Amino acid sequence: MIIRKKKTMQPKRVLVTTSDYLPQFGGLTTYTLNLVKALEQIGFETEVFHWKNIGDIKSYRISDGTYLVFNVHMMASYFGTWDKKLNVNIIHGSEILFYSPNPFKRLYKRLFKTKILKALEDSRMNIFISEFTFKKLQSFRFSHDYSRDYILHNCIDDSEGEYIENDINDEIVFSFFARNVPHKNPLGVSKYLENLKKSLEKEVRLITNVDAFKDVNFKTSLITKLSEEKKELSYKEAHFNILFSLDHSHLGFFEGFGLTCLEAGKYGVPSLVSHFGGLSENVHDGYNGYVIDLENPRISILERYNDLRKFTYQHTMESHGLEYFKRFLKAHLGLKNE
Amino acid sequence: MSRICIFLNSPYLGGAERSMIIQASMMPLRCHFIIPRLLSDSGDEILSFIRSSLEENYTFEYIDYPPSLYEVSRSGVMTKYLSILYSFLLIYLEFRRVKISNDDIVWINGNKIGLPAILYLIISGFSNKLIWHFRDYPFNQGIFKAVWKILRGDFKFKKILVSNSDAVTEAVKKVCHSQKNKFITLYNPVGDLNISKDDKKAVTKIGIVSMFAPWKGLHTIIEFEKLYRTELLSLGIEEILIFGADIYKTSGAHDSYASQLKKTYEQRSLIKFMGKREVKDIFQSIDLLIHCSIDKEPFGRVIVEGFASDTPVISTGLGGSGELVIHQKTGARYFPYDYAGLFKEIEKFSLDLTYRKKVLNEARMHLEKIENNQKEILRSLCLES
Repeated sequence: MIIRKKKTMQPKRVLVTTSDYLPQFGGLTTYTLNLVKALEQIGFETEVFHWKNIGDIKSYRISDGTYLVFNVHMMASYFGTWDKKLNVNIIHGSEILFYSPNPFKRLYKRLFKTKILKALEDSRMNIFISEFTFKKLQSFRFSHDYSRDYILHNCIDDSEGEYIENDINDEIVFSFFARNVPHKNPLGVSKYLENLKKSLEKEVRLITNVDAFKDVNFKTSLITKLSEEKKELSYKEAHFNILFSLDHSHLGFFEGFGLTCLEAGKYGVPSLVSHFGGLSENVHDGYNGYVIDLENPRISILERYNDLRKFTYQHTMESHGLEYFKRFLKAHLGLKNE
Repeated sequence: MSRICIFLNSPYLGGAERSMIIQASMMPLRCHFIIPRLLSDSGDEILSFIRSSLEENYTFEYIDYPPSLYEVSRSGVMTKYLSILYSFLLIYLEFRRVKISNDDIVWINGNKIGLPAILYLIISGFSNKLIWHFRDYPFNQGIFKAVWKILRGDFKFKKILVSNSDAVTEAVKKVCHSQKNKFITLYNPVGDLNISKDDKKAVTKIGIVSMFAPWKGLHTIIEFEKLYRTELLSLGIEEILIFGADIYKTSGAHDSYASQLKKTYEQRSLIKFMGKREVKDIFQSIDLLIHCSIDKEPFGRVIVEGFASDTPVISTGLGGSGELVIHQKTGARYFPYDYAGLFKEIEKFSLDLTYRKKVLNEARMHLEKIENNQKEILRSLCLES
């Protein structure tokens, strides 16, 4: 009698390359952490390569038997010395503008633009975090292919997510976490909240890490050293998250998707966003927040507030959680979704 | 006796032509169709649809539409100036053959034919009523910027700008705003499509009915199926049928789209490409319709066809389609690329029979309201001076 032995499968090894990683926090670090977690949970062995400059990428040699290379910053898709067909590139936003305030760096980036686009076209897969980013890259003559390019809206680690009831009484609390740069538009936030306070005749308080709110008529709770813990506590306290980013593509910035809206959403906190970049793909007007026309801003944001909160929580967990991310990866990496 | 001179937009029987011909069958005046012919396309398909819809109450004639001008009217981009000037001259002579009188009402069914037609009407001193029917958002680039400027002008004839949804009306108002213009929304008709279904039948076949163009979002359905295949199967879904084809004769964003879609095909997939089929056959064979456009729809003809055939509709509801699909009333909506959301809506229609019946009933009522309203608008457009 022949007994067929079950093959013990070795986990496939994948490399994740990134320009940003711990201890520095930011969009790319968060993405990398979530990607690694999702990949490991579906049975892959991961290795993270945190590069600081192009030289690092060029000199890096991947281990034999590496199944795929996930490039959280697309630059590694071109400068990496491995086979381009191993590349799965994640394309977020501003990096596709090939811009730097430094004119030499800018020139360098532009020199390589065509080659980088070609590297993306030669890759196994490109994942765009929003349709806006996808269309933007198309406008730079990126030759798209729907059998290679996918739009997967950002996902977050939702394991700590919980629905928090938070009624609005005399005070409306907002959260705004961003770098203090013009395209994040702290001035727009400030103007809107001042107006809101006058119109709704309620106290307004902003919890923020951005030190740009002086001489404003609303209260602020400034967090000077922002940690993940403080950020999570602030979201739990907030009634709305706010992100009024502008499209500063000419200066090398636009909002690819707006991760903070999801971070707040996992507690049921709806967001107010501007219509620039991929923000309106993230916040669905009247469902999980409002898309605010900055020229003619909407003030009535308190109607059906509890419904808004419930939907925000449900939508964030179901459509932007780690399970969803895993589902995508499994389907595309040949694993069964069960 | 006055007649309605209907300038059809192209020789192909697309949604716009189909809608126009059905609307013509509801008009209280005799219709005279002017059918453009391109070199290789005769417009015969259109003529047979006119015959079956209007029986005797119509006349028609063909005009030759110069291909270079057709290309300009599609893209708005002018390059070969001399050849285009020559084409204008040719089509001007064709229009002269039509002999439009000042008793006639001129109905322009789209922007491709509208561009040369309005120039002809101005030059020929036409002084009755011009109805320009927008079945898509006005393209505000290239030569069309000049066309909308002309439409803002003051001429001997009265101008009524009809759009097929409020969303399109709003966009038309922006580019053709003038005190002299009248703006009206007239939804597209569904036509004779009486299919009734067993409302207790389980949902096993999902349909998508669409031409092959990226903005129609067919790739999102292929992706959705890939992600939710196991769950769809356990829900009892056997097939996802994609009806339609690459109908374009010119190049554009749709190039290679069909072949890219087919490249993603997997052996185990529930998706089947069905090609072009008769509307009745399509709706008879599906239990649920997904309308998956990822860009603003001017109207969304398949949605009303779904309403008329007792087929529940799930749509992204962008643009004009959002005026038809009211979430959890006349259908269900999901956000583009939100496959978890889409699955939830399919699940609800599959498992909750009471909900499905309620939605189908509301959809029927909504359609009836739209159709009645349409008849009244058509009557006043034709008879009011």
